Amino acid sequence: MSTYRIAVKLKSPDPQAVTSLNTIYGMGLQLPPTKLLRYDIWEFEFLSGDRSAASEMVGHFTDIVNPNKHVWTFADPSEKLPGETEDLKWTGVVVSDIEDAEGANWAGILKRRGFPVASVHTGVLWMFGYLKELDDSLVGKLALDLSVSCSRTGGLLSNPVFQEVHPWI
Amino acid sequence: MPRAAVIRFPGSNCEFETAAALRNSGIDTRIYNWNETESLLNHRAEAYILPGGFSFQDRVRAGVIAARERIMDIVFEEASLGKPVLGICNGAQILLESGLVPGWKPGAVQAALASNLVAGRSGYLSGWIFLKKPAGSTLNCPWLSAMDDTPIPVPIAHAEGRFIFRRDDREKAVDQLGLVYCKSDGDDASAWPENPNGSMLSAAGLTNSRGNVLAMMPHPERAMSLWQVPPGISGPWGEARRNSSLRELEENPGPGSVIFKGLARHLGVEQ
Repeated sequence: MSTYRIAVKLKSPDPQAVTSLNTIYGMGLQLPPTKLLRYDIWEFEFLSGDRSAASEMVGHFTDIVNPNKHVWTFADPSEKLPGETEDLKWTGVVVSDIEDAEGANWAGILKRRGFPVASVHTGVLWMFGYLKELDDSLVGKLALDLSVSCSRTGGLLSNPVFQEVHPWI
Repeated sequence: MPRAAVIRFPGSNCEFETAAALRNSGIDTRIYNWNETESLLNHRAEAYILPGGFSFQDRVRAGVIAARERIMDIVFEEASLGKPVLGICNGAQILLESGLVPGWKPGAVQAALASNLVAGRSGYLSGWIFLKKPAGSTLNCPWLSAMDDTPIPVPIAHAEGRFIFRRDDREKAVDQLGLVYCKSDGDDASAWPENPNGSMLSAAGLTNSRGNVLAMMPHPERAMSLWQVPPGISGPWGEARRNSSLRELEENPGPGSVIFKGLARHLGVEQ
């Protein structure tokens, strides 16, 4: 069994990321991120097959990757993602629904189409670009604080009642 | 000064029907844009309504961006004074994301309207469902004050309408259930299709603990007139629909009007 994780990003500026960053600026934080990037994260658990089989499968479904508007890559936290620039310190957080209905639906679709997939998990990866001089642990904490919406004035990117958050490490 | 303020966010698409529903119930109503905070501050309405639609394209999460807008500070303050506030569909999502509902700790996000998920079904759904007040409800909610025990058919149209509470909060939530999904004869809805989205406790509407703020997913403003009720629907409302003349269909109120009638009664409006 092999697991492949891909990150899918809009080629154009992502309206969700733009709106989120504007809202974060409106929250008046002392240390807001300078940039915010958003990726759809797909994790496919394959019963058999290698990376190229996963790549071929992704190419079949424009609902996963539409080449007209998306770029995608196999995602690994140790490697840079499209859009990450050298001038900032990047830290990421994955937000996913505790009950991942979309992932379960896609697993059913892929199985019915004959792909050797055991499960699919979906989520959103938010990459925060902070000033380089900030400390690593501080940057991680700031990103995590912004990711969990505990109140209308604190946090934004997930509702902890039905979503969970994991650092991208 | 209008007595009711309907607040329109970018992407709201039910503000005119909602304002019309209020006006038809005898309540002077004005629609305010989300950035007309000064104007709203100066006028101060007696009731506030957040209509349905897709505020800010539902970016990030339905309702969360609107919940951070400055105009919600006014709604928050007015709600804390006991003024009636109603959120319909996207408006309900805004109320939950702003911490007004359930409001055990005001401002804290303590419940969610998650993606529909029931019996393996998910995604957007639209159709007619039946609503009732929970048996034995003692809530003092102005929006529900004109509602009796007869189930009412009302349309729903949403992708994220599943009320969810933390396990420890479920008991508390029971006391604040304003509306629950039910069968056409009033029996409890335990599963799809009567509970269309998998909501915990079959919740269709939830109030704050004081009862003056109601977040509901169904659209009562789309059932203001009897002709809007589908003829094939069961129960007394369907029967009334089938047995009415064209003139009666035009003139007689529909099941959703009871929500706005409740506010009119609360405000002492002659009808």
